[in-house]
Amino acid sequence: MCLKINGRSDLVCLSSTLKRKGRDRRLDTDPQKMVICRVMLQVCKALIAPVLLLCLVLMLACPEAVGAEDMVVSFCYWANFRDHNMYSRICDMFEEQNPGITIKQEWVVGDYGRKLQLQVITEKAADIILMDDEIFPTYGVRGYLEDLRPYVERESDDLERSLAADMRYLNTPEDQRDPNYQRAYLPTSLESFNYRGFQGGLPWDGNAVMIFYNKDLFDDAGISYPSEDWTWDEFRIIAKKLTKDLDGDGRPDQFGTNIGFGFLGFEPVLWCFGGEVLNEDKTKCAMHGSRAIEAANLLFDMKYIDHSIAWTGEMEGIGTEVQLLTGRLGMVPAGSYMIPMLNLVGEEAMRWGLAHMPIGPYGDRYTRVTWDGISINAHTTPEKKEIAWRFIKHFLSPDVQRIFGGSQRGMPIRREDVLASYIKPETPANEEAALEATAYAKLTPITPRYLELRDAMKNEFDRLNIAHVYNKGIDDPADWVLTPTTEFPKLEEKVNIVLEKELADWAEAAEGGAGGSASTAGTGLKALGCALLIVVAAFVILMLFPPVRRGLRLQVADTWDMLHSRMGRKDALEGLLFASPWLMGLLLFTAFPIVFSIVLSFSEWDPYMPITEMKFIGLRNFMRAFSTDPVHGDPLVLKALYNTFYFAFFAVPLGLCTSLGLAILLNQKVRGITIFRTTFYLPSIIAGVATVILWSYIFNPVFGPLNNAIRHINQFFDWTHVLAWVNLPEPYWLGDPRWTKRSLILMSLWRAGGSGMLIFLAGLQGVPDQLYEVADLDGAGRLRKFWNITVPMLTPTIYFNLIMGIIGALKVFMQAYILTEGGGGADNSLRFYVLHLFVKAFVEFEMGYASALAWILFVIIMAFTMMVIKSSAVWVYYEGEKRGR
Amino acid sequence: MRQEEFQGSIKVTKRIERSLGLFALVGLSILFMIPLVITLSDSLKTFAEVYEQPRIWIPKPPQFSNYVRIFQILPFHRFAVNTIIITALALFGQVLSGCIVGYSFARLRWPFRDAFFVVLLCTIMLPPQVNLIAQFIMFNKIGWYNTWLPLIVPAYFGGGVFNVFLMRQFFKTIPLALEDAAKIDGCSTARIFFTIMMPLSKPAIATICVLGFIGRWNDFQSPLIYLSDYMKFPISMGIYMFKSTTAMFAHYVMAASLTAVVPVLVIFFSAQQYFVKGIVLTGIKG
Repeated sequence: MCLKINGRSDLVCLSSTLKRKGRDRRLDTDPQKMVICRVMLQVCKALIAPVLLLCLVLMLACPEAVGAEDMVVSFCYWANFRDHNMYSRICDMFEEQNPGITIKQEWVVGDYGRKLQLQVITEKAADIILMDDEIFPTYGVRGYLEDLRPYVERESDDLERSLAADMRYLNTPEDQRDPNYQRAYLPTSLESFNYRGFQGGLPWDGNAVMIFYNKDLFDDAGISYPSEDWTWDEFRIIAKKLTKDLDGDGRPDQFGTNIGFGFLGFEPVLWCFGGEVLNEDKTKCAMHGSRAIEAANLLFDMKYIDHSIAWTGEMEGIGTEVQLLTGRLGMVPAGSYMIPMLNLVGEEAMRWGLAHMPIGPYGDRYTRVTWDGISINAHTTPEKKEIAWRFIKHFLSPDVQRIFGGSQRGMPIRREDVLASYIKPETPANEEAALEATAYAKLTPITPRYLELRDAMKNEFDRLNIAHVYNKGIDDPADWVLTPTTEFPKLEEKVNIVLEKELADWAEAAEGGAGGSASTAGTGLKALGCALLIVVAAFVILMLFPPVRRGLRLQVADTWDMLHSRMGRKDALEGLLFASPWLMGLLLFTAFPIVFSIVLSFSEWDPYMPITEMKFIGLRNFMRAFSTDPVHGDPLVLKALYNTFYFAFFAVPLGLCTSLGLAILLNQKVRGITIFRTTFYLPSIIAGVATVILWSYIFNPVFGPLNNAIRHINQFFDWTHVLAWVNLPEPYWLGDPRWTKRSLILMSLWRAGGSGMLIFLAGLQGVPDQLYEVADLDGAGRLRKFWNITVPMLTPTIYFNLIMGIIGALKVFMQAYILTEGGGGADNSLRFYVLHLFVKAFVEFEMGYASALAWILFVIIMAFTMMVIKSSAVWVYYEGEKRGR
Repeated sequence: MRQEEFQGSIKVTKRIERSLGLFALVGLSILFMIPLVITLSDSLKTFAEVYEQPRIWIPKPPQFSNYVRIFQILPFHRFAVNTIIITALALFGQVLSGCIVGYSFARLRWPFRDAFFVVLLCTIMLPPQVNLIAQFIMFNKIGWYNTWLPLIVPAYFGGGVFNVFLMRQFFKTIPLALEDAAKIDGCSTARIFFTIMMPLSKPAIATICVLGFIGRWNDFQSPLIYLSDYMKFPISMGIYMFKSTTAMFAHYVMAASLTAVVPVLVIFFSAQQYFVKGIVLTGIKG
């Protein structure tokens, strides 16, 4: 470079070079393109100011215009756009009938449970809350929902009277009930929102699990449709007949059914065989004994001997209604919600029917039913509660019930409304079966730790779903190492652990009250003290490292110097002024949450409880994370750490190489380079949902384009003979625990054209052309130029991307969360550390423990980052720091 | 004679190199495009066609009406306006504060600068999920729930720590000589920053603009938490409205996602000029 350090002339020289270069560049670009660019730029510039202004105006105009006298009652619900339109209609009807009342609709999109949780703990929850039976106990137990019994017992109108009569009937002991009493509401509906006598909500629409079947496939196979009283044995035979290998590659691609091992799928089968998940008083797991094993063996044999059940991986990414649609699945157990979906498809695409659940070998027939409910927020004002109650009655009124029935998203709660609206002669299904099913339907035993219970069972069920991986190479089914007989005892053990915790909760709650609050008085202070102690200890430990000590001493000395000269003081003031936005932000927005989470990590706190309920437990959270004891420890932490490190170890270097490679390719001066850049950049900006739908289709082992491509490549290799020995695997991707992480890495590489590539591209632009010119004069080759100029000049960028990559990979969460719906994937192989932490915090409500986990991760990330930062002195080259400081 | 031969061979190798590069570009971009083609073709299907096997690559007839339908079914134009407002206001703050703070970390001397830099890095390292509840409680206490303020205001206070770090790295690569020269001429720090550093770091600013833009445009987590009135939702939430646990309208999801991508592409296209170094244009002036 021709720079000399002699003041102004140098600056002038450089800026004129820059200008000249700019002009040159302009000359050799396409004039037409230049004009377009310039016009676009002008337009953009002209738009900036008005848009910003408009924004401000709109922001100020934001508060919606609601009539001043109107009573506003809010109503929150989850919905897709169709359900939302239905609710809007119902709200409009209500407003018409009740002038002066406005229903404010709060449409929750995405994670309803978490949104509700945050709203509830900050008392921002809506007055009327839509519930389902899974989230109901969480809020019901903690007193967030209004008990509706007093409202019902007023018996001021027909609806209240009918509800009261049914409730009276339910509350009398079974042996004293009037055998001739006709219940107005379908069986199990009112029970499902009743928790030990407390009626926290009322049901308004229900789903019983039925068997949907594809008539076309039955006709093709020459099988008669399921009869009223078919049995599980028949089910197995039919499923086997429906399983076919259509493309002749030796693997079935049309399956009898898709019932898998999983709490929701397995439970009805278990019941039909006379088994139970929990014992009568919900204190012990009841999934033991011959009946449970028998039920599990049916599915296990269907799956691994008949191959008539699709592997989870084979149908991954295709919703159940869809599996029927594609004509690849004969029978699907699902709720009523599938009917509107299937009706959308139309007769010509597929004919389908609705059958009862099969009967078990001992003559039992059961199915699961779930009800959607509606509740009143217990913390709202009495006037609003009255209106909310009126709204609930409106929700349950025949008119509205028939709207629900007509949409067929679920069954209305009264028989006559079902008959009047839900059952439609013109649709292909016999919806009567769904109504009849309520007679033998049961509710899932739901306990306050229900979600945790499901989570505990997941691992064993997952292993059963992929048993072929463990039983590989063993031909005789009798020798298989992983069967229901081996897994169920483990399952039972895990469930019992959760139930024990629940019992402990109850015991604590029973003794709680006065005793509890006394001990919690100083807990915040204690935790804060402990946090301070830890911070001081961490500081002292850090000080033991000479480099840290030296660094700090330098900092102090530097500051001292600065404050003792006038120039220094001016510099310091200026520097602080420039840094002030961040410093203020740190103080205002970040400091409190961080301190709070430090305090939390030494405590036990259920976020639904007031903050005074926080209990100081010292280091127990940290000890728990490191212990592998199944009861008091958390064995999943190790697994989560392993997953995270595996992911980071491969994803970071691969991602770095891909984005650097792409950036170098895209730094060429080729015509249409903008188009290419856009191509690589596009994947990173597609919204998360779409990417997940897309990739679960791509990874589908049977239909997915990825395995299709692999199959073709293998065929090509076979055809060449020379390469016939190469045989690429056709993995189950997201269905196989060995491949899930690799799938995720592949997905992340596809998105490598995002931030990493752009930053490299900008870095490459910063490499002065003169360096290359000089190298050209010296006759350096391309590789040499890359190695000796590009790489050294890019080291600051590589350094940045490396640090961000490591931090990002160790914090990997979003993809796994969306992809596995928070579950953690097959055999917990996608349960990354942060996902685990998230589940602990927001599903199991152990905020304290989750905070402790977060701080452990923080230390791990910190250690890795520090390693990179320390090493940077050796390999990172800053042009700016070459001379001078 | 020999000289010419040499020059000729250089030309040939150059040409080979070029075509190799082009070849790699085309090949890779086809590979990268396949998932996008799937998205596009799904967005032009009917509900039933999406799931048909074997796959339909080119739906007949293509349902272009899906792109109109999404605007009829939902107030998507409203979501678009919301997104633009949130993104514009937040991005402006994020880029401005990112540059200023990044510069102070890279070039200015102030007490405990390097220690604070470690703190800055630390704030990126803590998983945001733990702070979520505390942050929610905090923003709720100051009455910002169900407003756009929690999505916008933190951006002005160095909200994008990532940007601060990135800008610091870029400022560090700019030769010190420039500043020294300006200082000798009596240039104030602010002036050095706005007239020398900012114009020189245009590629970096373009990068953080584009990155910040994607981040804000696709941000789903914070609107989910802080907004309750659906008329205030951004597009990213709108896309989720075509999906619930029991029903999925994949064709609409795909159409909506592709529609949402268009403005990002426009921004990216216009930012491309800044990626091409040497074109001297005015950046963000204070």
